[in-house]
Amino acid sequence: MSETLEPGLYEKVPAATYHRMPGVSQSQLKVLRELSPAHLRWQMDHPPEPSPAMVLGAAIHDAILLPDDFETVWRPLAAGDGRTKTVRGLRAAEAAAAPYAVFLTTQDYATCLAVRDAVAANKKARQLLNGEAERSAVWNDPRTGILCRGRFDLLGERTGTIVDLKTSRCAAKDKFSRDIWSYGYHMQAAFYLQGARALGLEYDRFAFVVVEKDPPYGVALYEMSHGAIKDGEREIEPLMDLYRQCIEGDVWPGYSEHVQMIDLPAWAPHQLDQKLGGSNGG
Amino acid sequence: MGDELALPSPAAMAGFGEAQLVEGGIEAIVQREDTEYKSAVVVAKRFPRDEAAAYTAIIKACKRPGMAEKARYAFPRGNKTVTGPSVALAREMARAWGNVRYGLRVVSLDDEQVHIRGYAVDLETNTYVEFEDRFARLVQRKDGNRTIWVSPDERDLRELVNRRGAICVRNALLQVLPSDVTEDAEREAAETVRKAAQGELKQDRAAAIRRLALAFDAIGVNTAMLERRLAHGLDLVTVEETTELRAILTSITEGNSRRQDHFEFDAPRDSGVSEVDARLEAEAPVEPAKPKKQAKPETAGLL
Repeated sequence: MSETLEPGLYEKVPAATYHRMPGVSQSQLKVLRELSPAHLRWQMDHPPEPSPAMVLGAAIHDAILLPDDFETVWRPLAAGDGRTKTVRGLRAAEAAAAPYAVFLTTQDYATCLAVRDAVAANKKARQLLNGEAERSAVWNDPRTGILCRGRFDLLGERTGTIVDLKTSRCAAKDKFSRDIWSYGYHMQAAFYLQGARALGLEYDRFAFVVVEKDPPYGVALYEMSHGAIKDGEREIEPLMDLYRQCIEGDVWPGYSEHVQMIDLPAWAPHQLDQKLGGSNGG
Repeated sequence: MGDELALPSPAAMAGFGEAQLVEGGIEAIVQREDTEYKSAVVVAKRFPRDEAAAYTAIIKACKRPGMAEKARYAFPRGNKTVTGPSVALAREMARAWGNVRYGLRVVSLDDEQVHIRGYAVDLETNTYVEFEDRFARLVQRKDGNRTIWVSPDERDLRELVNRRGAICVRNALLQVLPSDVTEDAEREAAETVRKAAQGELKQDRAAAIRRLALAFDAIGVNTAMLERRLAHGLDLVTVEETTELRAILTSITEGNSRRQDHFEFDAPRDSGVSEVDARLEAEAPVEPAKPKKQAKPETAGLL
């Protein structure tokens, strides 16, 4: 991938290519948020191998967003005990017949289909997911000039909405609200809306289609609040400045070199008071 | 001393905080001020302040939770919170330090503008400091959902002048009073508030939080707005946060800052109604895609 990639919206960019594209991504900013520049540098130089959960997530994405690709790329492994000669033989034959396919366990493959069907059965999820899937975007951040990149799960042109598909163990509102904070989805929403604005695309809303990976494969639809998007912008700004400093000076510091005082989280003493007070009183 | 200033006041030589009718014209007022001032200087020379005793009295005053709570203001500037000694602390210090005369004068007052001057004099050293302020003769009023600026009636005008004047007087007083004493007083007051908050929360947490919520509710800041600022539920408030909230309360009530400087309330964070949902309602539904071929795994049933 050329280092002089022009800002714009790109289609049919394989995921592996997207991850090698220049520019800072929202997931990289999250590494700066949670860990340190040194961790980000390491991850940039040593892209992590996808975990089984990530592989399943990618398969579910394809099943829902790119059904044609799903049928071509993802295949179920022959069921049975992989240590037996018969099953090993079957699997080898399958792999030889489809050298570019990625194999999932029959259980994971069935999960993909069940999740896909659950989303397809939801009227508004169908509407939300009716648009351009898996578009990769590259833009220059107007404030810092830093090259940024993002991969929109779906651009809903008619509703002006960027849609992100999330698979989760639980799609309930309270739980997903906490996930938004824990995994920085508000930053993702803010970052992608900024990207769309920088490219002159008319998207002003960010929504989630959240689908559970376990039966009964609950589907929930959420729109990110304006307040959460503003908070995302507030979090992104200093991280972009930090990233710029790291890039410009090619200095990627780790944690503080000083001995720092550490305490319990601010809320913990109160919880302890309640716990001890409660047990004393009881 | 009362808390009101007589208006209109042509010469406006009234002492700060004194409600006073203007009788006998400007000359009489000037003459009386002059006489009072000279008498005060004579008394000050005869009874000079005992600085050690005055210092002790100030610090002692700052140990009183009621005084300490009002002693500091806080308001946001950029990403930081600025704190400083309040009007109440400046007045209390002037009282305890002694031989300090201070007040507010209305320099001019017309239909459009008010021009005021706060002053403070150390009668022993003859140090005189004044601070001026000019502002439009307008007050904010609610008109439905909008905020509009209107010409104030006499009562509103008096409140406006007193509020702006109090800040001028405070600034003048703080220039006359020794800065190290002010810093010590502030520090002592902050510690008192912290200890009081700690004690209050420890003694009866629920009641302390309720009192805090009520105090803010009285100035139009509800619990949701407090929690938005704290970034957590009010029930998890810490001693430090309580201390800061008290300073914010003082700042708003004294007119150093406005509610919207500290709290979000004009733009609701989330209306609870999804705009995306409304847009989806407005468009035609999307029919489910017909399966092109059997979706079941190719190897299913092999074993």
